Amino acid sequence: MSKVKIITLFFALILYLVLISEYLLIANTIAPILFEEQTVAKRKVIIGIKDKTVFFYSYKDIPEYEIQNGDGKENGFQKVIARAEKKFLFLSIIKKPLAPKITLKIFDLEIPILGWGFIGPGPHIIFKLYEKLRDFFGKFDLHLLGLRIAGLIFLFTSSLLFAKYTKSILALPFFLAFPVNLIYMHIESFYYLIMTSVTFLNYFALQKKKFHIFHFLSAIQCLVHMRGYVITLAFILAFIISKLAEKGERSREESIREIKQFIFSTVLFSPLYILPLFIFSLPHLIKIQDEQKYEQYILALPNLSEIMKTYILGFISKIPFLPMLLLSKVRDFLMTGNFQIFFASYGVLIRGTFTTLYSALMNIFFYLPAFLINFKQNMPLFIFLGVYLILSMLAVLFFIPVPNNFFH
Amino acid sequence: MSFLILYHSYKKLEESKIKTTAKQGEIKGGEVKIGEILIFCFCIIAVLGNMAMIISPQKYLQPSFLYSEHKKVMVKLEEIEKRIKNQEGKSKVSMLCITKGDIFYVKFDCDVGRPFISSEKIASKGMMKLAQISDLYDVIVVSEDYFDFYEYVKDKFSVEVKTDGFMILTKKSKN
Repeated sequence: MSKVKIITLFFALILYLVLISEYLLIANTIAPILFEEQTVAKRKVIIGIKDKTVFFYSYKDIPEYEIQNGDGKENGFQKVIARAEKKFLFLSIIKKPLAPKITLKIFDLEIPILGWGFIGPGPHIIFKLYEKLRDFFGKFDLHLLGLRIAGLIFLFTSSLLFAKYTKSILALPFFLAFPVNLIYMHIESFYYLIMTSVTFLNYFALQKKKFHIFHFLSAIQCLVHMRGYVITLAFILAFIISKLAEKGERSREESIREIKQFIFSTVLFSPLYILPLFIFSLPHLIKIQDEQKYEQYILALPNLSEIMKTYILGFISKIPFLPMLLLSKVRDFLMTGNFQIFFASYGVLIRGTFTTLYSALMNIFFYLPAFLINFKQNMPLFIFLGVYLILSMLAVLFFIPVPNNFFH
Repeated sequence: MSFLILYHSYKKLEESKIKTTAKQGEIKGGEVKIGEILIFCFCIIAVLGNMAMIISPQKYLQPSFLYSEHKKVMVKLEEIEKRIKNQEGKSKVSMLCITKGDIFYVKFDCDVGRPFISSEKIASKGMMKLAQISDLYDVIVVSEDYFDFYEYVKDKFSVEVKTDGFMILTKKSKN
C-alpha cells in the first residue's frame, strides 16, 4: 500500500469516527419529535371527544381499566380505547384507528399487519429493539440516546452498503454527511432506508441482469410501502425503454431477448406483487363485531364506490396544480438534505440561514454538476429518473386525504 | 433516489484528475486527484456543520425541542407529582401532555393531547374540546406551540412553572 493510500485511509477513518461521535451527541441533544416514539410507547393518545366519552388510541393493547384515572369515571366522563376485535380461538384480529391499523394477536403477542408507511412483523421486531434499547440506556438516564441507537446503527449500515459499491473507505463519511436527518425519525428512517437501499440494489441488479433478485427486492419494497409500486413500475419501464433505445454495440435481437427474459421474470413474480395489495386492502375487507361501537367516530372506512368517487374528483381537482408540483419536485431535489426544510415540514422552526445556505450550495455547486457531467454514461439512470418523475406526479393525483372525522 | 444520485456524483468526483505536464527543469509530469481532495473538503464541511449544531443547538432549534429543556420539566413534574400525592392523598396523579415532544410518558402516565390539535385548522376547536375534559386532570403540560391553551383553562388551572419551551399547569385548589 502506498504512503498516500495509508494517509487517505487514516484521515477517512478519523472523519468517520468524528462523524459517529457528532451524531451520537446530536442524537442525545434533540428531543423526540412528533411521531418518533409513537410505536414504542404504552401511550394513550386522545383522538376524539364526543358527548361524555373520550376516545383514545393506543399502539399497545392496554386494558380499558388502565386508562381511567384513580377513581374511574369522573365528572360523568368515560375514557374508552378505540379498537374493535374479532376472535378466532387463541387468535384475534384487532382493528385500530391509527397505525398499526390491523394487528394480529396470538395469546399476548401482538403482531402489526398493516400500518401507514410500514407493515408486517419486520418493523415490529425493530420497534421492539428500539424499546429495549431505550429502556436499557434509560437506566443511565440516557433514554433518548437509547431510542436512537438502533436508528444510528441502520444509518451506518446503509452507508457501508454505499461504500461497498463505491469500493472506497472515503465514501463512508462522504455519504454519512447527507442522510443524517434520518436519525431523528425512527419510523421514517426505517421506511426510507429500506426504500432507498432497495432502490439502490435494484439498480445494480438490473444492470447485472439479475431479474429474479430485482423482482424479489421490488416485492419487499411494495410490502414496505405502496410507493414501491411506483418505483418498481418506473424501473420496469425504464429498463424496457433503455433496451429498445440501445444502439450500436449490441444487436436488436439480443435486446429483445433480454426484454422477454425480464417480462417472463415479472410474470413469475406477479403473485408476490399482488400479496401487498391484498394486505393493504385488509381494513376494507375485515368486518369486526365491535366495530359499530366506534365506527361513527374513527374506524369507519369508505366503501369502494366512495373511494372511486374521491379518486376521480381528487384527480380532476389536482390537474391544474401539476406545473406547481413539477416545480416543487425540482425544489425538493435542490434542497435534499436541508435541515431547515426538513424540520419546518414537521412544524419546527430552526433559526439562522446557515443550514439552508449550506444545503443549497452543496446541491447546486456539487451534486448537480457532478451528476450531470456524465450524462451519456448515466443514460439508463436518467431514463429511470424521468419515468419515475412522471409516474410519481401521476401517483400524487391519486392520493386521498385521511378522513378526519374526530370532531363531530 | 438519493443513494443513486450520490453514487454517481461520488464516482465522478473520485475519477476527476488534473493532468500536469512536465515543465522545464522538472523530472516528470503526473496526475493530481482533485476528486479525493474535494471529497475530503466536503466531509470536513459536514463535520464542521454538525459541530455548529452540537456547540449551540439553541441557536438552531426551538427551546421545546431541546432534550435538556425536557429534562428540566421532568424534574419539576416529579416534584409536583410527589406534592400532590402527599397533599391530596391520591394514589395516581393524572396528567395531560399537549406537547410536540413525547418523551414525558417514559416517566409519567400522561395522556397525549397533541394529535387532537395538531394542525392550525383544528387547533382552536381541539383546544376547546380539551378544555372541556380538563377536569379529568391534575396537571397539564403544554409546550410553547400550544401556550394559547392556558387561556381556555385559566379559571381552573394556574401556571406552576414556565420555561422558554414549556408550561406546567396545576389545578387550582377549591378553597
